[in-house]
Amino acid sequence: MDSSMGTLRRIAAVILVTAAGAVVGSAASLSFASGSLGAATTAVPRCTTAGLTVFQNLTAGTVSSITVGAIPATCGGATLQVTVNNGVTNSGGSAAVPGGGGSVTVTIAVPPAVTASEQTDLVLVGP
Amino acid sequence: MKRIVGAVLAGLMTFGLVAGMAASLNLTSDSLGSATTVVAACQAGAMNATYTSTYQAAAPGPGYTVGTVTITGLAATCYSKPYKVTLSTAAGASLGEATGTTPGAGTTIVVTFSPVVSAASVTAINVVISG
Repeated sequence: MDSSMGTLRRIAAVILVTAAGAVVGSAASLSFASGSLGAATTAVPRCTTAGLTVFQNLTAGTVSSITVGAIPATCGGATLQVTVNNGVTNSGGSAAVPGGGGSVTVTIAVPPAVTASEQTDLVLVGP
Repeated sequence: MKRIVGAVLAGLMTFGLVAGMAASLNLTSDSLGSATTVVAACQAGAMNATYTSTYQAAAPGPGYTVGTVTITGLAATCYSKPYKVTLSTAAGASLGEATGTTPGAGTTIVVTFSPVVSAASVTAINVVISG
């Protein structure tokens, strides 16, 4: 009986020591979680870097439309926006580029008067 | 008999403790804790950016500018999280940054840049979603 009690005490002692060690071990660890973090960078490509032709179409002393030519097929499906600025006022319009590229004429919403010089800006958005 | 054995053991333990203390070093320690966890993106699916261009006579014009970028492909796992979108030049210079919180529904983020940036200068877009 005494022998078995001694054995039990030894087992209990071992368990206690082990448990104490475990507590010390967990005290050395940190618990944390991380939120998500995702990042990306991508180029904004140009559908063409080739030169385009730009012609002003005049009506009664105003720039009524702009014809942009030499648009490559890589710009097919894009939206062409054009604005004419005569230094006093500006107006523009937009049109879709055919799938095969080519030439596009954009009607100017409020045709500005022809002056000594007008600035024509264009942008191709998409495809 | 048991009392004698107990007394002897007590004496040995006491002696042992004293001897142990005499042989120990005085050591303290700063805290040290470590852990490792994964930092993951909220979604793996591809997103796509499209641009709304507007003519502006004033700076940064005269010319076409970008004031709105629409990002599609948002997954539900990225809902309601802070984001930053930067439009930059080929050299990596920032043209403008917009911040906000992703929507809690849908697949589209509409990002507004104020002030607008020159469309001709935009050659890269940078997006980060965290949280």
